[in-house]
Amino acid sequence: MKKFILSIALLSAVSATQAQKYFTRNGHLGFFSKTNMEDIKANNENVTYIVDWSSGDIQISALQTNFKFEKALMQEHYNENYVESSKFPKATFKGKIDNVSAINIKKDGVYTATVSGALEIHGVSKNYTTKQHLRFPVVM
Amino acid sequence: MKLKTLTLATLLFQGTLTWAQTDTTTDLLGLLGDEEPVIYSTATFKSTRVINGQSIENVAGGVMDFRISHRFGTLNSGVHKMFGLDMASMRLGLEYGITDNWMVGIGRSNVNEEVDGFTKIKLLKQVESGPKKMPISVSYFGSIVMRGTEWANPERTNYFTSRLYYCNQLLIAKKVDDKLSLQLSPTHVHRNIVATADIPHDVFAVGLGGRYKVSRRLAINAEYFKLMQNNIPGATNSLSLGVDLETGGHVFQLHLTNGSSMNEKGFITETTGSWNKGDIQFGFNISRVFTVKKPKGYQE
Repeated sequence: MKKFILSIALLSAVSATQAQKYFTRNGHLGFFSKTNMEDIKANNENVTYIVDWSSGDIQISALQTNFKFEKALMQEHYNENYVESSKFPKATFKGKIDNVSAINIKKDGVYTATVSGALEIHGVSKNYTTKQHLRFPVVM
Repeated sequence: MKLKTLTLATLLFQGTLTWAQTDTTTDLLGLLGDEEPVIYSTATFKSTRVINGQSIENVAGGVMDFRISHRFGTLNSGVHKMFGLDMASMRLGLEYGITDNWMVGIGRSNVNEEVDGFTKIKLLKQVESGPKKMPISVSYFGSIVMRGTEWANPERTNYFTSRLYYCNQLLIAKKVDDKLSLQLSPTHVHRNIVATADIPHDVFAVGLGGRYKVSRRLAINAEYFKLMQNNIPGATNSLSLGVDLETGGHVFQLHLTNGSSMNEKGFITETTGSWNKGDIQFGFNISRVFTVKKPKGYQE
């Protein structure tokens, strides 16, 4: 049974578009799967994240071909056989931070955010709810 | 009546317009504007060889490919030779990707005790989608083969350079769709020494290769090298048919071919077998890759 753990990394190089909207194009995203044969692990350092702190909307877009694997062949199989990157080039997440009012981005500290929304991979969309820690200030 | 329809249409139009506007405000990614990335075609072939000849694929940067290739005897050698299984030509190769676009390799064959060294460089990469356009991939392949056998005429002065053969090849490939890939390989082979004065030193040939992916793990391959001249005594065109079987880190290539050599100067210019007469050899290539250097950007 493969278990994918999606970890939403901290927003890096945050820049403001409007008053309450923050985004980055160099966000981090990774996944890990333990199997008997070998572990499957990849990371992507060019992920687009955008958060609207007034509404709590959060959206993420990751290009599949930007996931780096330890083994080139594993990366080829991932793109060619599994996620079919030529047909489905991006993985996206569109959701909301449900308890956005409890997070004060102007005050340093660690917050727990409940995020729910739709994760779309390989053309299939599924709804997820997860808790994530947010830390201010953002440390690279 | 007409006026009414028009008003209604305008209302509807305005309606959709406002609705669309409220919708886009929640499309945060849309606000950023889409940066359309260039996606190159990958896995045009499963392996760095179509069958005997080079494919457009390189081993990735930092990856070592250990290759074992065998060609058994001809099927028409009969039951005494177990239809060829008693005999084997073989090549052992170590091939390494210096970068994703440049690989080098060395190999040793027992056919004529040959050692070969080669380089393969990606010149153009086919673009699958994105702002750039490129319909084909092009690579250059160059090799030097050193023949190791005893001199044919030891009594005369023999030069080391007489042992050498060169090959220049352009690989032009197109991944037509997920399943079908095609390749054209114009080839030039130079032999420093030939048996008699009327045999040419330079040989030109054109290779045609293709693969059809049956499933994620299985592909059917075909390859044909046509000599562009007929002044090489006994030489036939090399034709090979095979399958590629892929497991996690291995690619097994099983095939039937009329060429027993596993380097370019050999199977292109020295193939003498004929499919019509049953000079068909069973053969295989096994490729096993090892990651020597972790790719850039990968985090432990």
